[in-house]
Amino acid sequence: MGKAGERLTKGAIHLLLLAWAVVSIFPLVWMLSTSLKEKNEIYTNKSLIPRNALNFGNYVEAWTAGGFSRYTWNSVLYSAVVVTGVVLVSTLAAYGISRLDMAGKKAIYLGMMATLMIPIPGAFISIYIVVSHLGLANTRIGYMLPMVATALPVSIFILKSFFDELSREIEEAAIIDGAASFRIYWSLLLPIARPAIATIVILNTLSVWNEFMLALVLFSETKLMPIQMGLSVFVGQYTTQYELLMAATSLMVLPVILVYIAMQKQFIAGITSGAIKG
Amino acid sequence: MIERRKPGWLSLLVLALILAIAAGCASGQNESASQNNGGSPSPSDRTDSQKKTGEKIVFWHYLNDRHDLLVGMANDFKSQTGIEVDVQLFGGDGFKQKIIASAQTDSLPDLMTYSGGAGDLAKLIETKSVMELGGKMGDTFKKFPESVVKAYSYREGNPFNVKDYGTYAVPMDTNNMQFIYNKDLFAQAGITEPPQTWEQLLQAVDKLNAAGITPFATGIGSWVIGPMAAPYEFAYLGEEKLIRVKEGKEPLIGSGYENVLKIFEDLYKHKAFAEGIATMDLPKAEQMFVNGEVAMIFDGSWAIGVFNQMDPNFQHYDVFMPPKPADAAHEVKITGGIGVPLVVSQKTKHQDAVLKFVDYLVAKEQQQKYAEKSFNLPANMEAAKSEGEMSSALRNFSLGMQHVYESAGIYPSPNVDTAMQKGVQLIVIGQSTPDKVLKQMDEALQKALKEKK
Amino acid sequence: MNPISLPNAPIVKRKSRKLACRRYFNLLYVLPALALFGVFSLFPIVKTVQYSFTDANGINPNFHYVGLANYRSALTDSQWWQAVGNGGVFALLSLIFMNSIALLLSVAVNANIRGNQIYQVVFYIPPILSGIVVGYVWKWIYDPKGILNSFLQGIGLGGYTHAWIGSTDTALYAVAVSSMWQGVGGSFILFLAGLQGIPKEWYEAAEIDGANRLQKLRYITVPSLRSVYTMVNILTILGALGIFNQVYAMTMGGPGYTTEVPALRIYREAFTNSDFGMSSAFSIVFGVMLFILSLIQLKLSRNKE
Repeated sequence: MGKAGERLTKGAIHLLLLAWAVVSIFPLVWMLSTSLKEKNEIYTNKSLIPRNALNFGNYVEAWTAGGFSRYTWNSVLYSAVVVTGVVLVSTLAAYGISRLDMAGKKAIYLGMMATLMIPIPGAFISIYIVVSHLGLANTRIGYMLPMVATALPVSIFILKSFFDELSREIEEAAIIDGAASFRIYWSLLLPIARPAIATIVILNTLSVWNEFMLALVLFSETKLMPIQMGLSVFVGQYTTQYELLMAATSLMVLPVILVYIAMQKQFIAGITSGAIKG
Repeated sequence: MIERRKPGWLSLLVLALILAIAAGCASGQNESASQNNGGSPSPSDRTDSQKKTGEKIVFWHYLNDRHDLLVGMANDFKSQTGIEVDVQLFGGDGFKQKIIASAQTDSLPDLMTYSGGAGDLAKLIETKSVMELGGKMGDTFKKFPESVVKAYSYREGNPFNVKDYGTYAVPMDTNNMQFIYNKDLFAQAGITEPPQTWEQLLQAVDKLNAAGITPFATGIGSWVIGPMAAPYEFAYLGEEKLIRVKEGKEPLIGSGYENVLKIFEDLYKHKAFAEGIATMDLPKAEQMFVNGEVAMIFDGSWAIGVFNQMDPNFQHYDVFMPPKPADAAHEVKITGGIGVPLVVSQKTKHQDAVLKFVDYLVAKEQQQKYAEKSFNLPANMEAAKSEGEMSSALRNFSLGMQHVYESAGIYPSPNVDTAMQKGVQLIVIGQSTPDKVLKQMDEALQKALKEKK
Repeated sequence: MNPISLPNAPIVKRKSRKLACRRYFNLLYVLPALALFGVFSLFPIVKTVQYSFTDANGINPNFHYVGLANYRSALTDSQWWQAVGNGGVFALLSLIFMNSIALLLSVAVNANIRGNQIYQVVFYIPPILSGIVVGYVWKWIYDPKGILNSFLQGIGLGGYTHAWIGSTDTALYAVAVSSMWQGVGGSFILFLAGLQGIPKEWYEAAEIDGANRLQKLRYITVPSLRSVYTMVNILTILGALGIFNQVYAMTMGGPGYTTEVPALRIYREAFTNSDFGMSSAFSIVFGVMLFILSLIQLKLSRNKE
């Protein structure tokens, strides 16, 4: 494959990426356009172009009407705590399952995976009952603990698959040197597994950010509610305030993107530290 | 040497974890003190005294657009009686599940707007979660039309197996569902009068098509099918037979029910439906109606408020009752009832205060304020506007309350309703027939009857 | 799979006891996970299994045991199997189209092209949106007077316009497209993370040996991604079969049962019919099917190794 072939491939790659980028973004244009429209424009102005292209009033109104400052802070808190918890607990467990000899390992792993498969109608109701019996209803802790718990099966599943793939050469060298398993976990595996961990961080931030039903059922005071509660205010009994809903959704997307960008650095770091000089 | 970048942000997060746990425990202590067993137990009500200052009741609701109104009313109430009402808004579809979950942990609020039908409420009655109100609020109930009160009343022989007879909800507002038509589009097609019979309606459909106007749309993709079929269930079968058929005491096939399904087939054959009807929801149909894309819609009285919100300039519409087919033996009765029922928790510790607040909410003055904001008709008959102030559409909807049916019977399993809904969705795009759907309904009915034994 | 490879141990007995001890000690690694899991996830599962043998309505703590009646009903329910079939269609389409696109994208991005960081962010935007919002957006696109039909008319293919989600022949695929559109981003980052785990030296060594892009792909990338690929496939199948939010927002399973999916049926039984017994039975049947499917996938991938 000569220079021209290389250029062709590069061009094809660019085309593919660009094409999918357009496909990804395009439906959002509707979201954005709706968020910039006036209330009575929504149903009468069918085109994508709002009458006043810089009408950010909806954003302001969505922020204040939805009580978003409080909900956002709550969601940031919940995301940070839950994600930290999930990362710590699931990396430990996935490392153990992937690398260590453990009594009943297979049973434990399969048992956890089985729960991934069973869709429980109203799982949030059952979880709420448990939390209530523990006396933790309407508390932040009572919300965050189950969130960590329910995120574990998927995270462990993903992490174990990644860990399985990683080379064992460094570890075996360290073991011969007499290193304990925990030290291997902390100093060797975690840094190498950064892309995998970054992925878990992103996925879990997303699911915490989008969670609604458990919060609705668990909290009886709106001041503890996460950000999805703010959105639900715009969905009325007979009408939906689309312009506010889309404005709010656009706002909500930003923090998750920020987390994603932060995690991106971990991805690039992974390439360099994947180097294993045998 | 491996970069030690990880511990940097990791320790930050661990710090956040510790902070949050501290915060969580702290707020946990505060919260569990005022645990939601019907509001905070304040010292004053423990001594059972008449002094109401400091008493607080908790009120959950899902009315996004009326939250400020309700908070305002709560403040007025407090200044009059000293009783504080904590108005909490939980919007969206999840309200129903929140009630279910709270019922299971005995933490229902003192007062709530209920989301669900008579059958759903029956389940809460079974678990003794909600309070019977008819006996305690007899005078209040006199303010409402009887048909409305009956919506959540359970008497001997009720189809929900409720043994604790009585009335369990107080109506905040009422509604009913009829046909709405666009006067301008009708005029364009040369139609001068709204149809009075089914045949006239089909003629109107033909004329509209001839004029290039899409005749009709409604939320066929969702729950609207039931309320739209109901008037014709009554027209063809009559109340008694309808109830018996639905309970399985008379056979469904051969009862004449296929005529009800034929209504939808007629509309399909006359090309009455807008495109995409099979999965259309009501809000979409309302949008089309407001934009003049369809000439008729089947909708509820709240549509007036909805249209107002979508386009305040859109006023040229009016209402007509579902028109009776010539071959129907009985009168048409329409779907309607309570828009927002108020329900009280059985376990409330502030019964007097709550009932007082309910009385306050449905008093004439509050009802009038509410009717201006709400999209529904006020339940309190005294609060209904004088004839002169109403638009024709509003008046027709108000009058419609007299034709609301009391009970259309219920099947032993909701699967029969589902079979009908799914079947009608296919009829309206010509992919099924009334006979086929009737058979599917009967299969579901027979299966349900067998399981019930 | 014993990674603790000890050099030849002269004192076998002491070592083997130490090994056994270690086997239990290592359970500490999964202890936090098990604890949380046991407290919060076990109860719902147990409840579901219990409910599946009863006529519980989800509200009343009193209910009766009905033995296998729910299961019998579930297994003979033709609409349920139609729903499962629909889920299967989603899964198949996702596996074929969605994951291929995601894989290609991740390989392309990994090639360190200019601006690849921006691409990464953009590709991840669809998964960030909630299913309901995605439903709204695509409903607008599929509207009979909407943008898709207008586009077709614009390029002269007016004869292909459709009520995309309102017709029985297109509804399922229309929903599938929207679900795949959202799903690409998720598979994409998983593949990307997997690619990042492949040591760069392997590629460098191959280049020294004179391998071109395609050969590198075939002999290094693809084999190394095996376990990641299996994992993504399993997650894709689980996600596709468990689709709910978008169907709920777009079609509610209609027209008729055309877009009915298992999760929708389970939801309807629980919250519309108040039949937690049936709902739970469906859940268990579904879960067992998925579990067996996943086991098969894992077995297949392990055999290839």
